[in-house]
Amino acid sequence: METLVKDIHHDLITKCKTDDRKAQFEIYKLYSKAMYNICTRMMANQENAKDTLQEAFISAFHNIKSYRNDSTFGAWLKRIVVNQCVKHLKKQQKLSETEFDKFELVNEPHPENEFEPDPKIIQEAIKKLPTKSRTVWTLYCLEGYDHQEISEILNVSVGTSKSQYNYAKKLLKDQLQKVLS
Amino acid sequence: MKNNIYNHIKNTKEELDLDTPTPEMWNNIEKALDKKKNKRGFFYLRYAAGIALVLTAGFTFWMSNGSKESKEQVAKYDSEKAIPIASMTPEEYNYDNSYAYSNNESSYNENTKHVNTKKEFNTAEIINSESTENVISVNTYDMSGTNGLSSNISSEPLLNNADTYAWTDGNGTDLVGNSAGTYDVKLPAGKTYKIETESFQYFPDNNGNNLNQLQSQFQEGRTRNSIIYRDQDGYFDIDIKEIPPETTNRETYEHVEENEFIATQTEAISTFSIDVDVASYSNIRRMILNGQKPPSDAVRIEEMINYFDYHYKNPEGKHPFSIQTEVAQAPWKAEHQLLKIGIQGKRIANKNLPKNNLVFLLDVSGSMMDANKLGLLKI
Repeated sequence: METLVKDIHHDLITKCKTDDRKAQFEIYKLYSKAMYNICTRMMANQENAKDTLQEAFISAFHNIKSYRNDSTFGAWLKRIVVNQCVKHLKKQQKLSETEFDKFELVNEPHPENEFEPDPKIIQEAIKKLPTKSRTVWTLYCLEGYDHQEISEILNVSVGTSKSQYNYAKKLLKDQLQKVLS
Repeated sequence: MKNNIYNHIKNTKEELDLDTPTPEMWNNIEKALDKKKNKRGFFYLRYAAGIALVLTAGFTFWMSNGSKESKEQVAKYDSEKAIPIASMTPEEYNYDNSYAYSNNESSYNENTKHVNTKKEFNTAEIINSESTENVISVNTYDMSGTNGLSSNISSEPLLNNADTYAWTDGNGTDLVGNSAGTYDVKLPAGKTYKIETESFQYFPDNNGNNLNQLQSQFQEGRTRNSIIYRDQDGYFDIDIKEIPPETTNRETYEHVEENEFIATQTEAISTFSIDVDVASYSNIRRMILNGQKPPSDAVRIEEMINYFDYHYKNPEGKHPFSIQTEVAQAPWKAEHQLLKIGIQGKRIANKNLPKNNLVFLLDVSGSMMDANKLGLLKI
């Protein structure tokens, strides 16, 4: 099953390398929603997310010949999207060093709760997080990057990535628990 | 145990993909790709027809998928003007502060949390009731499981004007019964309605003492076109608004991204176009005079500056333009300095202009009937 899916995409990707617009549109349809949601979470701003996604796809199609099947296409594309987001956030100076590393970590015991909130609530809570910790948390928890990779993407130390992740986690937990209690 | 939330989020992360790209996003991508293609020469033109055909097919499909999206955008647009149900501070109402309702109108959308779940209602939905009568079903949930107000909620909608439906919460303040339930509301034919749900939790004290305030909110709600349902521990407000026929005239502005600071030590040369558009200033003035908040992208700084006449000196001698500079401390940051470079090109005396042919184009279409079109141009 897995290989079959991969094969279908493989053909499309090969066509994309010849600048086949139909294939590009197919690829876009397959990936745009997931990629767009990465953008909306990272940028926490719809307009910026739109711009970022468009730029990422344009860049991906322009550079698709450099994709050499050494990772899945989704992972390759995701990295382009993530990098584009980071580029924008840096441009907006939302990832400046001063904002980083100033948070204390508190480990509090949390009561066990039934946890079944609407995805919308989670989505909103994520978008409310401070930019840096949101970025780290999204990349780690939802996009599957480890702290080493995140430290490379954001050009920060592994420790910073970890502390920002924990900070986001705490904020999220606090927020969600308040809503649900 | 402490990873409850994370496990849940991780296991359901696909469900978090709630945003859908809009059709014009692919359009933009396609345009950008075409641009590059054109640079490569006419070789590709042979294939253009084929590609266009394929894209039309693909795009029609995309559009039909996207139609719901555009309706939601209309709703969102309108909801920005929606009035918050009550102006009160979170403290007054014992709200859970993390999701406090904001009484700041401008942040209405952002700070109001939609705790209404189960997906029976989107936060804003357009119901086209033009040809048939619609019945909408309102589901309410008792978030805490504590007893609510249901015995005081009349199942008969209370109608106080043609578009208002509200449930009364009765006169009593007893907290009995379970408030969860389903209620139907009829929407008479002939109109399009907007349904907006808004819900958040609030916590009256154990004696139900905040019910007085609830009732005053209820009264307030009745003056709007809304369906209101309230519960002891949850609160649902479903607005139904009549949507006027859609006016197609919606001003759009290209997004302006502010430039970052560039160190001239590393990049000494900047290029820019000398543009003397002045539209932004009068456009913003119009919006402010109309009582609207101008969209941030409509504010184009260079056009604001260019609007005014600075009485620059005329160029002299063989020079086609004159340059005038001024330096001042930046009012917002003392260590920054602002440099203004004024450029004045040659002024051409009007009487020396060659003869012109003027072409008048008359637009008699319905789009000219909008209120914000120049009265002078209307028939």
